[in-house]
Amino acid sequence: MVFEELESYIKSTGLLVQDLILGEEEWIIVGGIQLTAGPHAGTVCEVAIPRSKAVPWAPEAKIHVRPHLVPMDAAKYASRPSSVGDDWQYLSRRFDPVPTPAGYMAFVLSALEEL
Amino acid sequence: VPDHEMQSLAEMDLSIAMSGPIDIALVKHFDKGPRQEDLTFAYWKPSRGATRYSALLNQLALPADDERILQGNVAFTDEYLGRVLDKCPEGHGIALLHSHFTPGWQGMSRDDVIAEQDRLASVVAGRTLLPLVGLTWGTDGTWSGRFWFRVARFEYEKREASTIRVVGEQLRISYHPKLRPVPQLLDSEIATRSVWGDEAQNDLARTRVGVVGLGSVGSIIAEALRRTGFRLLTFVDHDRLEERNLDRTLGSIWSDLGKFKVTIAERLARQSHLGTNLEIRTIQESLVKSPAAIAAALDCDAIISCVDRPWPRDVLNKMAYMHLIPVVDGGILAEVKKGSVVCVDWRIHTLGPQRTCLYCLGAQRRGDAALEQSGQLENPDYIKGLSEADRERYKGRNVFVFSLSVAAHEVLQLVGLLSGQQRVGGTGPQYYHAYPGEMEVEETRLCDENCDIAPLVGTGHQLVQFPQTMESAREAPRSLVRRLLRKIGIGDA
Repeated sequence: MVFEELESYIKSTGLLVQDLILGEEEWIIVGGIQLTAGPHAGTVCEVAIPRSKAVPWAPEAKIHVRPHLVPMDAAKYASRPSSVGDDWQYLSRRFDPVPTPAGYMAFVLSALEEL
Repeated sequence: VPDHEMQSLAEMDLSIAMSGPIDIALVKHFDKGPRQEDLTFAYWKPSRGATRYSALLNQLALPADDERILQGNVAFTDEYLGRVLDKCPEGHGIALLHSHFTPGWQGMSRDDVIAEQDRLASVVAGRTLLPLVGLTWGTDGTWSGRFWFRVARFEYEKREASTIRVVGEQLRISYHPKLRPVPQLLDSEIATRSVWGDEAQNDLARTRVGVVGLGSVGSIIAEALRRTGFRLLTFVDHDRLEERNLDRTLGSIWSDLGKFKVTIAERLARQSHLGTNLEIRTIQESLVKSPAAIAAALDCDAIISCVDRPWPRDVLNKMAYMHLIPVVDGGILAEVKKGSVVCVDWRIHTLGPQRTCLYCLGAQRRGDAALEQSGQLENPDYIKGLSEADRERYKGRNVFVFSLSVAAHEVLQLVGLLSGQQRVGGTGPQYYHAYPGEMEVEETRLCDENCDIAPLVGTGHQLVQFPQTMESAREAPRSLVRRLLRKIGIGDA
């Protein structure tokens, strides 16, 4: 799988995808992600994913999310400040299966809903 | 073309590589009996090291019955060539492969030269911006090969490949008799030769082996390789010797503190029985942070991975498949509870085409490399939050004697891989349990059906996404090579 496949999949689900350039890094911002379960059910958030030319694409061990869903630097949530911006935070999460677009997005959603 | 530019390109070693299944398909295609030659086109991707430029054959474009003329010798039709040019995948070069009736490294007949130099070199370079590659198959399975570079307008010149590598269950290398000659027999290695024979020993001596990581396992492997008669070695490690390494780094002494580990390994090797017959390259940089370290690894025919970190292991795993450089890898797991040993296990396996990758073997988890990149493996809070089993996994406990055993088995797998002697290297991945003292051996198998590494055999993809600033530094010499390639071989035909 390559990054473009992930991006196409996300767009095909109807989520809003915007580009963001931060210095030498390019990101996509996935907007309109509605959490439907867990303590943040009903919250609409954004997730930032760095663009990558790597083949095969391998996800970062970080989920960058806006707004902050949990306290920052909390060991319990493995939450840290994100390089995307002050209003973002990242959650340290490892992804071990072979990445597929649907599999990765399901992983992101479940990570946010089980906080 | 100025002489100095031609000379600069002339310094690059040329090689051609293919996977075992491609070699098997070609042999099947060429098997027309003793009186009929045959041919086919194939597509290839480039792999650039620091001193070696390789063509990685990754796709055959076999002819239909009416696309070549078989009359004892063989010729391709214009229609066949047209189809191959039309269907050439982006970023790929084109190779013409044909069979001969005799064994060994092959010369070229007048007809061969006309086909490659006059009919193909210009049109292929014009279509692909890459030089035409020619290969000839000898009846004993030996491949010979060459690249056609442009030396002047409408004039193409042949440069021979020094090696053709077939990478499968065995790493079978055809050596150019003059560019990689049979090495001089040394009296000091007669005992070693008496075990697996002159032919195997000559192959070991002509194979460039990289050792990545010169710590506890790597320092022993470096010693074992040169005592086994490997004469072309590349050592890669960015680490310097610390006091805590002294008990496990072979050859290290107190006054070595602060020295690069590759320097210590090199010093030891230079004192060996091989003397001036040894050629060692040392790279004091990290595989995941330095384009130069990656380039040095891409110059190797085979690599032994002695890194204990998941990110460089992930890079070497990809290199084994994408760049057709088999990697012998190992790992040690020593679990300790309340000061007592719970278990000590180690594993040894070889990665590459027709073999299971690191992830499908379960030797590493896919998320490990990303975790290291994120810096979490250095974060005590994160480590504290892991399960006990995971915390043990990342501790990397080890003592010299564990390393000694892993190193021995890794070198044996390498010798088995190169010589094809299973009775030396074993048949597949090995798992040793110190208690009760048992070696489990698996049959070699392929990756899982959904593996994302196995389908990338011979694709030559970039292995590490370096920041642009580093990449531009790397691009400087590369753009020089590209300019030279354009001038003397490709680009404007």
